[in-house]
Amino acid sequence: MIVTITPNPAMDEGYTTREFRPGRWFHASDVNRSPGGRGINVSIILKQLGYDSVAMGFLAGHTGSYIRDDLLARGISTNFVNIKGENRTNTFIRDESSGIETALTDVGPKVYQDAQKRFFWNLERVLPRATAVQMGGSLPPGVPQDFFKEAIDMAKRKNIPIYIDSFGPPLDFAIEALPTVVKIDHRFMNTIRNISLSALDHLVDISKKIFDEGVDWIVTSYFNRSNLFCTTKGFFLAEIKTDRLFTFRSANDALIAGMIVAREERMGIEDTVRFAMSCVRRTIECPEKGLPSREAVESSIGSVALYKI
Amino acid sequence: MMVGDIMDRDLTSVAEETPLLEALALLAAHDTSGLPVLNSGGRVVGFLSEKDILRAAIPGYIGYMDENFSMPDIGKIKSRVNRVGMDPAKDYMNKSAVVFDEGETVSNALVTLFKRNVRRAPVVRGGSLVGMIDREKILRGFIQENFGDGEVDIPAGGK
Repeated sequence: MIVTITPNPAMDEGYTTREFRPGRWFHASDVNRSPGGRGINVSIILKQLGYDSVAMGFLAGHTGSYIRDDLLARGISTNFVNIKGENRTNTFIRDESSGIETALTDVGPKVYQDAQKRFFWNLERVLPRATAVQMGGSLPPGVPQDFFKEAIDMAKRKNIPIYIDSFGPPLDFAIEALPTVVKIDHRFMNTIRNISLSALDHLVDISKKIFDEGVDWIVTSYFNRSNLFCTTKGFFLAEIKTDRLFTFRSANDALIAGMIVAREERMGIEDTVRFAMSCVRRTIECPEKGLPSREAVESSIGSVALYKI
Repeated sequence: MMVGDIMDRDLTSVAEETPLLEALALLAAHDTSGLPVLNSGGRVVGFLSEKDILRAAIPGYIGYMDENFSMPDIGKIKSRVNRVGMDPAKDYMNKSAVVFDEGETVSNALVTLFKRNVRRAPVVRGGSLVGMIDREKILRGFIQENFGDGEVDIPAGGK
């Protein structure tokens, strides 16, 4: 069983409209709602790839009930801690004419210590059955910055591979605990350890540093459609090509889900990169949350360009 | 149709050592009347319901209720719940609770739930919790199997 951790779940609301600009009223030509947050998105994509997972984190209010019910209806196991307040609603407005997307995110409910204690109790109970643990995203108010680190320490004691996709201080703390895979999300951070994330050379430098500390895989985005993979077999730059781009919303989550599946199926390093990037391609093409099918992913593996650098 | 096909895959549970007051707060937060109790290895060892907690607080009264005896006043119940509030769940859980394997047929599960007068029960795989099943879920499963996901079109009939 794969465990996904979303400390700050959300309901994602996507609106499509024509020629969107601030200051005017618009009628949406399409509205799409789904449970969201990094771990939850990974759970949804894993299910689409044929893998069961249990989604964990904190749920609150009507939005929390919606998230739980929707996940259960998709056949995804849940083990959330219910708290007071209301989960986030993240709003995405996609301008149909230009394809440009505008996002507005919320903060999330305050998570008190007793709920955090309860979460770690739940995690301890599911870890003996876990084959992988994925965590990521933002932390809600009240949750300490070393939250991911504590979860990673628990999973590491049981020798379970750990995937993290986050940013800022929570990611810095998480790296200290040496997870298996680190995805650096530089949409929300410009530097890491005082190294700018703007140029390929810098991405190579920081990846090498983290790799030398003991992390097996470091993945960083490079422009919109490429990712740099730092692995035990060196660096790979992987690029996807598509003329059917819809949204980049869950691209990172598809990448992580693809890497988890590849590891579960014991794929080699290059096959892992190709499979994960193909998951990204199918996800950014898909108007619904996630990707259409495993078959679709497999059919586009050949279109992933891979360069050893 | 198997229990595992239609169960609710939520894994909310309490530990054997969870104090009753904490368990009560959890029941309220998850809007449920009972939860499975797990041991330190994650295996289901019992079931704790609101009724078990009430029975712990006011032992004897639950039986009297069937004979129309009155309950103690709410203040007394509250103070007695507080008195046993730090006792562990394992002292009051139902150790012979109904538990289904995920491979059990839904019709067998429904018969057992009715026979044992139980509304919901944990579902396990190799002893570990994988979900919950209740009578409503089973009936919904039957409806879905017969009428699909759309609105139920109840056949006209009878006199």
